[in-house]
Amino acid sequence: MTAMIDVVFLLLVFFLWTSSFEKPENEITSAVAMSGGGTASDSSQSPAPVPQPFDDLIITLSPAAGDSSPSRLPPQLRLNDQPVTQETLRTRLQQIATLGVQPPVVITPLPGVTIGEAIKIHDIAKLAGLTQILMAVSED
Amino acid sequence: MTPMIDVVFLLIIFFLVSSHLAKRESKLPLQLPTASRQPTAKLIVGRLVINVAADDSVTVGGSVVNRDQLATVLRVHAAEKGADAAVHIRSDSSVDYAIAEPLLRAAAQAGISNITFAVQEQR
Repeated sequence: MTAMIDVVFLLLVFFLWTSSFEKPENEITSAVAMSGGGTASDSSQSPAPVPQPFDDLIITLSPAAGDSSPSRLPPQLRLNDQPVTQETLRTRLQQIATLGVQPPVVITPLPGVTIGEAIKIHDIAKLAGLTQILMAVSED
Repeated sequence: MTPMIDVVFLLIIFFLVSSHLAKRESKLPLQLPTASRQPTAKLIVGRLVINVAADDSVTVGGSVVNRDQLATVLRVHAAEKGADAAVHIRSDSSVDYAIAEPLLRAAAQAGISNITFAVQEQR
């Protein structure tokens, strides 16, 4: 015949102890594009490749010049080897998306680029309306 | 002659605490990369969570692993789960992509295609 107040205090103390003030986590799905091979996401399906009306969009991120200071400069972006700014990239991707095709977007960060920046570009591509976004890895 | 209710409370508290600690173990405190609003992280049981801390250490299941161990872990996971194998990568935002790339490559080579990144919402 435990008093109700004991039960209440017990639960209160427990939830205070185990609660944590963490920021809610989200997740983004990604796929991997291996150079010299197909995409990993297609490996389980039939080998017949779907003919793409557009070639891959390759976005290359290279670390900004003189980047060794703690305050990071944004990386230099290139879309299919054309240097672009983030705004230009966003506009171009939106234009491509409004055409109605979904070309695979391959994000290729070079060494020196952080994951935060790569995810940011992934985000820009997703917001532009493109759904097939792949992260590039090189073959061993 | 301990009352039954005390035993019950003890067991409840024990299971609550142990499940909470188990959940906490897979969530290393990190500064996740930011992204716009995305679907909330689902609690998928059986998903392999890989943490990459700011000091470039890769942690799986509470213990630090090196590249070979990681490849083994991924292959074992893929063999166990088959087509349902999922990998969730929680990486600090400042980690160089060159650290995550072998991770992605190992996952792709193990045949795992369901790869997700953990992000937090932009302020």
